[in-house]
Amino acid sequence: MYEIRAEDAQLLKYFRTTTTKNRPLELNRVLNRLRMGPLAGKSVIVCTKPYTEYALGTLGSKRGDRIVLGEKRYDKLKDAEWDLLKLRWAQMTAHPWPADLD
Amino acid sequence: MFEILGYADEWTVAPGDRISFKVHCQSPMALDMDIVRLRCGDTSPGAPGLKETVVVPSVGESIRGIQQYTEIGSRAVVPAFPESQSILRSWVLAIMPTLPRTDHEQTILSRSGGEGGSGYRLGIDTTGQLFWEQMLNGDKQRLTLQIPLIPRQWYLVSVSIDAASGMVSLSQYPKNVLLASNTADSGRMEFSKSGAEEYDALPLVFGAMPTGLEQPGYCDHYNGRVDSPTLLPYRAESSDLHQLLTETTARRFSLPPLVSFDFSIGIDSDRIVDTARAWSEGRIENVPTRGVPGLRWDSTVMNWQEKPDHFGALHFHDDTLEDANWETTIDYVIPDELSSGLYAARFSGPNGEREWVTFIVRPKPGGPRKKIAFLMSTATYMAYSNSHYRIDEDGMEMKAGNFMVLYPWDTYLGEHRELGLSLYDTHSDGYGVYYASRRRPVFSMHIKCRAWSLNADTRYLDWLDEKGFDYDVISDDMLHEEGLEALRGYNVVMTGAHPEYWSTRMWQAMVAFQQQGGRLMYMGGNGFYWRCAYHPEKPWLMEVRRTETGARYSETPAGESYHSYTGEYGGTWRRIGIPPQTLVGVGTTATGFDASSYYRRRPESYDERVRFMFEGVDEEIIGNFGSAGGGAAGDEIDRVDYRLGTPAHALVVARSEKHTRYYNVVPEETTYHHPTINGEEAKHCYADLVFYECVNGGAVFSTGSITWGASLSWAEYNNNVSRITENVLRRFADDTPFEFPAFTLSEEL
Repeated sequence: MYEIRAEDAQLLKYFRTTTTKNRPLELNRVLNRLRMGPLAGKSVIVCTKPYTEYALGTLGSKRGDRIVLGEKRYDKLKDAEWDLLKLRWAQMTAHPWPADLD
Repeated sequence: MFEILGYADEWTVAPGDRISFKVHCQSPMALDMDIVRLRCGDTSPGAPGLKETVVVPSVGESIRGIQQYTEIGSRAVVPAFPESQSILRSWVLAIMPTLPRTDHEQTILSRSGGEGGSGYRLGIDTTGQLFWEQMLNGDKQRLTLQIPLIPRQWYLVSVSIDAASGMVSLSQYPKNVLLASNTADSGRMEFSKSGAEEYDALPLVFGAMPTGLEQPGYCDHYNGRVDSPTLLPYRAESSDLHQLLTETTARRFSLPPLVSFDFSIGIDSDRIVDTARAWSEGRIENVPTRGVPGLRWDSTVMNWQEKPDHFGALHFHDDTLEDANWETTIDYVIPDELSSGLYAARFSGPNGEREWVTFIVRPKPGGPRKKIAFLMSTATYMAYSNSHYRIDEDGMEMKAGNFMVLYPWDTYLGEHRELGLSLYDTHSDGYGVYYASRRRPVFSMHIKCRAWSLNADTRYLDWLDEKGFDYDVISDDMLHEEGLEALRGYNVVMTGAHPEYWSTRMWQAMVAFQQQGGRLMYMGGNGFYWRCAYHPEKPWLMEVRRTETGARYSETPAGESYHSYTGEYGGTWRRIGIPPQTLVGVGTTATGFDASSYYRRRPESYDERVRFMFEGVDEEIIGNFGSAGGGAAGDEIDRVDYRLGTPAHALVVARSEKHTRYYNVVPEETTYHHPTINGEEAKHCYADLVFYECVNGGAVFSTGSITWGASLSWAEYNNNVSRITENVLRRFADDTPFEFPAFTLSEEL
């Protein structure tokens, strides 16, 4: 399993400027790793109104548990994805989020 | 959303048939009901949106909408029989618990009147320890062994009861001492309380315990297998336990058993047979799995029909559902004048709540047929039914290539497990789901949801209506039931976006249709992929066994690859020996869900044989647009393969390219791992657009892509995907036979 390194933080800026069609390979590797966490307690995006409103949520510990939603609502999926990326980076790496990224 | 939820007892009906709608309301409310004809249900960004026409208004007004209850969890139930006449008696049986430690106690067998009643049960507590419990008028006593059970290991279990003294002995012996880490244990206890005479009036239940209540009727469901449960009229010795290792007919107990269940009898039915008493049977409920290895399986045989005794186990699960058994909210007789199409009973609540319970109206049997039939993939809808893999499967984000977004239909199903599982899910114990039912709310039959299954197929209905085609709507249910008769009279059958699941009968009917000159337009991807089987007596139940290979989230362990319903070998049609290339020229090569791509015309597209197809199409690039991933080639894609049966004279008129590295070839396309199986680098990761003529004037057109249909409406239906589809359909619907071409050798052969 790939261990994210501090220098991988410089790849994060490409998340907003690329899609899966043209993403740097190294960023794909980082994103794959950030998606590999266990399901229990995983942070996810929840679409609260089909295609128009989103929130970040946390999966429960077992099947059937209600997802706990965060307070913030997003009307753009891209914004929710960015915040989820930031959250997963904090949860799954010990490296600081680059101060100039936002 | 989902304040109202419903299902119909039938998915495919003819004019004159009665259909029953069963509806649940989150809170009681008065419902109004209309019948609407559905043209499009896809409301995802870039899709045409909801298009419906009220065809029969106000069928029901102020209908009483109630909360309905659904009971999940499998069991097998045997009518009451006497046992108290034997002062000494013993249960001997084999168990293989698959989830011994879980958040609820589990009951392996019981005779119980519920809370406050009398009875007994053999169970597993939440720490995985085996126990025997007796109840008398609600007072309970329990003997629990100390050593927990190891999951997925067989144990020989005996419970010996001396009704005179109250002494009970309980023991567990692992069949494989090494793999079960020496977890043999036994214990004894004097029970002061016994309602033995009362047991005689109670049913025997395997896999759960009756509550004595209306809802839930059962509790403490068991996850695991039971084999050869036998009640002996004496104190069992270890030699009696060892008899279970012997084939049923060769067992020699000291005295004839009171009951002796042989689950290897009637594997293809709902019966369980007691060989100790003549004409004595019970029934399985909520689909425990059959046709799975039991205690005596030794890997010498994989097909339960060859040595049924090796497959004498029932596998119980706490999360199965055969029939929601909801009360009927309203019955409706399909009017004679209702033309064939996709319809819904649209229920409306007082505060804007809405639910569309979809159903298909087929042409009347024996009645006139149009030239075009659109085949709705009800077998595939059944397979996807209520899928939880987006929330239960930890590899899903890597597969999708994006952060997972859970939509309301995902989260609702995630919280409401009482609606049962899909054939893409795993049970609580991690085993793959083999059975799916349509007698429950099935989310893959919904509109205004994920652009998949029925909702995705409405893109074709929308396009057919836009272009003014006259067509019938038929379904897999109908095709399976009637065979070739379902296709009689049609010039062309058009599939939807994802006709993935095919029963043998369906497949044979399609082959026969082709041989008689029928034309087939395969408008999807990953089609003709898995074999499915319908229950021999209950057509609302479908079975899939995911053997050997294929793109799947679970696979059948060894010995579980033969359908219990039909005895057929399961899995992909490719591995059964009848690849999809033999029917439609293409077969699954890769899947990917991050983005779609386009096709590029090939030189064969200028062949005179396909001039009709490209009339009005000058561009080289086809389908670089669409609401599903931005392209007509995507999600799950198919390619030509002459080794697998693509006819030598097939024309590959276009081929997709530039799929991303989040596409991966399916397991069966590569016999060993290497780093270039992703879409960016793989040798074969593309969708082929194919045409070929068949015998007797028929022909095949295949898109090899699930997302083709989502491109049809682009630019007000004025685009090259729509144009090609229209050209093909008009030609295929025409009576003029196709001419089978003279053979020319292709370099690719």
